[in-house]
Amino acid sequence: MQQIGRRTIAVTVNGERFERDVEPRLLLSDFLRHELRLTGTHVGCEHGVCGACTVLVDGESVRSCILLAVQVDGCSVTTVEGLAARAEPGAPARLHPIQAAFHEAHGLQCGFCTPGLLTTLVPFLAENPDPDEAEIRQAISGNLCRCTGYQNIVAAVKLAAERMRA
Amino acid sequence: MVIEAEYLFAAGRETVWEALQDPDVLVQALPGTERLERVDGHVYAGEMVVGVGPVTAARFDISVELTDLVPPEAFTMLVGGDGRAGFVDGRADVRLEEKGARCLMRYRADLRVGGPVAALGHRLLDSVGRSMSRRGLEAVDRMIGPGS
Amino acid sequence: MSRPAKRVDAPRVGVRDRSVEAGSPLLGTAPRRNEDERLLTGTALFVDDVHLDGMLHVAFARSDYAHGRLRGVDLSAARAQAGVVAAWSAEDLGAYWAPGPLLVPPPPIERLTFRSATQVPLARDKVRHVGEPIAMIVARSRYEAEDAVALVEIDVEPLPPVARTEDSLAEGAARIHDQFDSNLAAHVVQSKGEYENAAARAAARVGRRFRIDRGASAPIENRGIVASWDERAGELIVWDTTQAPIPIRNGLAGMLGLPETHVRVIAPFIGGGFGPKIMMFYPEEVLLPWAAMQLGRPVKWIEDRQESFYATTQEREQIHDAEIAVDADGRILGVRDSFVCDSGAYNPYGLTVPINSQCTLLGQYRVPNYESEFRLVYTNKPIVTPVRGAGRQHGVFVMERLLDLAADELGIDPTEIRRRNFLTPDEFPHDHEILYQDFAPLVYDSGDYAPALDRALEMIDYDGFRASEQPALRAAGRRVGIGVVCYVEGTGIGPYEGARVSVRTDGRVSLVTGVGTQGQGHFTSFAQLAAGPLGLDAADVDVVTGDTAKFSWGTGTFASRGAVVAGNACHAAALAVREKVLAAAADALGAAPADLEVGGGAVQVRGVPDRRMTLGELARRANPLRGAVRPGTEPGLEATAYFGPERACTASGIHAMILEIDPETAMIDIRRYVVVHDCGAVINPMLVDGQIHGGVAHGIGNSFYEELVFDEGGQLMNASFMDYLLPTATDVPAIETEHLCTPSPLNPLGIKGVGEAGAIPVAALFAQAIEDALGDEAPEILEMPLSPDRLFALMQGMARRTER
Repeated sequence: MQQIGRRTIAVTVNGERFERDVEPRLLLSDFLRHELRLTGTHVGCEHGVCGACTVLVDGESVRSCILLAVQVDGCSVTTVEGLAARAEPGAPARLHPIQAAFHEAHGLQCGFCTPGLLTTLVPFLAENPDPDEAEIRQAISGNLCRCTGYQNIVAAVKLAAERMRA
Repeated sequence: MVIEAEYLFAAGRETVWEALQDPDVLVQALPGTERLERVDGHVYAGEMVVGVGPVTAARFDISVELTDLVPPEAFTMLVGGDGRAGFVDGRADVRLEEKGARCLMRYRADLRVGGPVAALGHRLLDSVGRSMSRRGLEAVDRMIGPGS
Repeated sequence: MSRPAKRVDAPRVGVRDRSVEAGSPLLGTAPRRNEDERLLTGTALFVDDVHLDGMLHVAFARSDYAHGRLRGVDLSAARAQAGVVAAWSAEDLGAYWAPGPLLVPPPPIERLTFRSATQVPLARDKVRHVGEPIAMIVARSRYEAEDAVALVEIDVEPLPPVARTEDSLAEGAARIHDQFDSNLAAHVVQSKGEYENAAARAAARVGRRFRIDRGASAPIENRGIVASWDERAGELIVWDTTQAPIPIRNGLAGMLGLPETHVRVIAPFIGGGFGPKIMMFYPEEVLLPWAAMQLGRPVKWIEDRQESFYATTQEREQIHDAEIAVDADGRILGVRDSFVCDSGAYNPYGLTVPINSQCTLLGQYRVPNYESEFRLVYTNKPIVTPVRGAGRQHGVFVMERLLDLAADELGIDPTEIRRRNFLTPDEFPHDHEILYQDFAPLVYDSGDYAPALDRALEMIDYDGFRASEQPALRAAGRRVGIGVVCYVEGTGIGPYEGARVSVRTDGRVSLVTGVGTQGQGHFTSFAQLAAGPLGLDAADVDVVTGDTAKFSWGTGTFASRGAVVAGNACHAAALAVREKVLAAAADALGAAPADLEVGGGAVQVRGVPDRRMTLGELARRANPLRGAVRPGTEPGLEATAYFGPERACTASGIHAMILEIDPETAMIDIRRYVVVHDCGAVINPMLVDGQIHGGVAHGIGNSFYEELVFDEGGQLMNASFMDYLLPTATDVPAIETEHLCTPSPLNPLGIKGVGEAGAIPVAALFAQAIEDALGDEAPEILEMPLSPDRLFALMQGMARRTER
């Protein structure tokens, strides 16, 4: 099989700059998880449907399982690990209001789809600071959850929106 | 998957019949075929690249056999394709009729598909199958021309 | 007619163990989850997050054919591929190749035929379903392993596949397992009374054929395994997305010839289980550890989504021919049911699913005569093992539909016919005289069904809907319907679970148990049970689950048993530690245990605040560096306890729904969804509600959106989320829940299970509500799942009939 040439990319992830040599076919999700060891972003389907792999690229939510790492050369990526404020070792993390709201409202069970929901919600709430239930459900309709039935997730988003408006 | 359709060639029946025995023409009839060589008699082998929905460039080793030949009016084509994206197994029963000076081909193709190409492309198999047959026959038609 | 609903935090009645009153202040409270922070910040460890030095990656070459003779496997090109370290087929496994163990032998039922054929690690001689693994490739990366998979040459002579369940026993059907004379995997008859005699007196006999089709569990995390072998220590470590780490450890140790103490299986955070992750000794589970030992390097395999549709087990396909006989008042005289259940290509899980169907059919009702017969059959489709509900939905669907049909024939309201047949509280424990999946007689422990029905009808305003809202909407041309269904769920089966509680010198408590966690909140619910007797909060307890090195005895999470079985073990261990704490404090403070109070992380002499010692201090004293530990006592403040219930406890519930159908598109809109549920004493109502929400969503999927479509060649036509539709946030309504409580007399805390409950009655509910919405001309809905397509076709058929 032909050896495909590697390329060097430079990406800023959660505020830190990384330079790496990668195969052109390396998925962004694999780059984040296995190359950078940021395993908070999860892979549920590898065909862009479940939304678990959602990250922010230059502030917009995208599915990292259907992007190649080389496509984010020069971009700024935010993953779930970049949402909470940096904590001192041993001290509890200072959660982003959306994370805190999920905790309060029991908006997660197994937690596997949760990082993708959080990153989807960050730009959504920035643009829609006071969404109603239908708008929330629409906004997360591209994120599949098998555990919660979505009800407490909706409650969490409402709670987060309320807190972030205050 | 069963496809039943017909196609009206520009050329007459005898010409179309002769042309279909030529592997260079058969290659046209199966779009995506990169290579088709006669192995023996009416048996051919080659390679084909197919796109069905999300499976964009599935490569298959194919074998084609023409049987039950009743020149110039009928034959059966057996097709087998095997590759990483799955397999295809099928037969097409073809009748050639005269419609004035032109040849009307009626065919019934029955295809079994398996593996990833079936699992991911199922919704599209029917339409892709039809469009492929149509394109293939148009290409053959152009190649043969109005004939003699 | 109605009694006020008994809320979950009301005093419990009928609980046997007095110590409960002293020990469970946190029962029924809803502290937020201990596990959330790690999950929310992306720092929780799932199997694919494990990275080890030198780790290699595995991919499998799988069968494209549903049935065939495997003539040969040529790995030469694959082995030559750059980056490939090893490639193996069945013959390379040598003596290690063996069919997997039968996980659940058949219960001791008298009229039973059982012919076991379990899955093999790599196909040899035959392939029996699409996706069956044929070769294993190990390479530097998953990408390179998949490149090599494409180069594996597989020579299969196709055989006619048995793709339809109803064809498996037909004359001349291809035989899937050559050692048997047919595709029959099992035949079971269970009965009580005499149906035919009873039915002869019936005012109405209603029979139909019912069909429920396959669905996938589809957790968002696929399966995965990492195996690492340390040659010098002689130790194997395996991370596995399993619901049963301890049995996996025991089995692997036996297969690999290692002592159990030298095999460690870790089930870390698991992204949803739902049943198929308790299927054990999957080919990949058996092969990865072997490969690690062969190569002396860690190996990882992570299933991709498409693979999961073949490689992970599924469930649900059954065809029932059932009949009910009722008297003129709608009272059940008897039920007869004969059904076929699809096992897929192999049967590692025994008869759990069909026996659940058999037993759960009896529902909340008095059924004096019952004949139930099933045939479990092999087909050339992926293997069937329990998925959330595990066969109970089929029993519920059949019984609830039969009652609806009987009600219709006799002109009785569907809720009224159910009420007339409910078991009443004085009939408990109620012996149904047949055997359940846990090999014990099906005896319901406790229940009170009429108040639950009353409450559900009240919450959804059934009378008001029927009297005014529905007629008004119908007059306006809207298709609105209401459904109400009832079900039971046998939960909390044995054999046992265990837990170890210790007070640490920093004053926090450790709780270790063998069951794993897949999202149900064990880090919190178990913590509540341990914290309560020790006067602490749930946040003061650190829970460890799913690591065989930390706790070595137990079975796993399945059959809605975690809270019941492991929960009671946690509680018992905490009570035992409490005794030790009191003894230690009595000694340290020079007081009698009866004069001591435990609370706020310390023990104090009642009324004397300065005679006090923290739990941490007591723990330090209990583990001295000098002096002697008194004979007959142990160091530390630690205790291990086990709990094994004598049989299953019976949870129950009522689901009610109002839905509307768009007459043009056949899309549905669920306007109200109500669940009244009884799972006995509730540990954490927030977690219980979450389980119900998720179960209902899964049930909605199985009723309307999810269907695995196989063609006549046994090919799966929709092996992706593009075409296998999981319900999204716009498909699942807000669910209103209420809890009633009939405690279980079978365990000290009075708990019953709830994990699968939400999913069980939903198909029956949809059928009833949709028929009601479509009105008098409605076609009978006897098959599930429906889908917008199928519903549309039914409505078209209806329209044509009414036009004539």
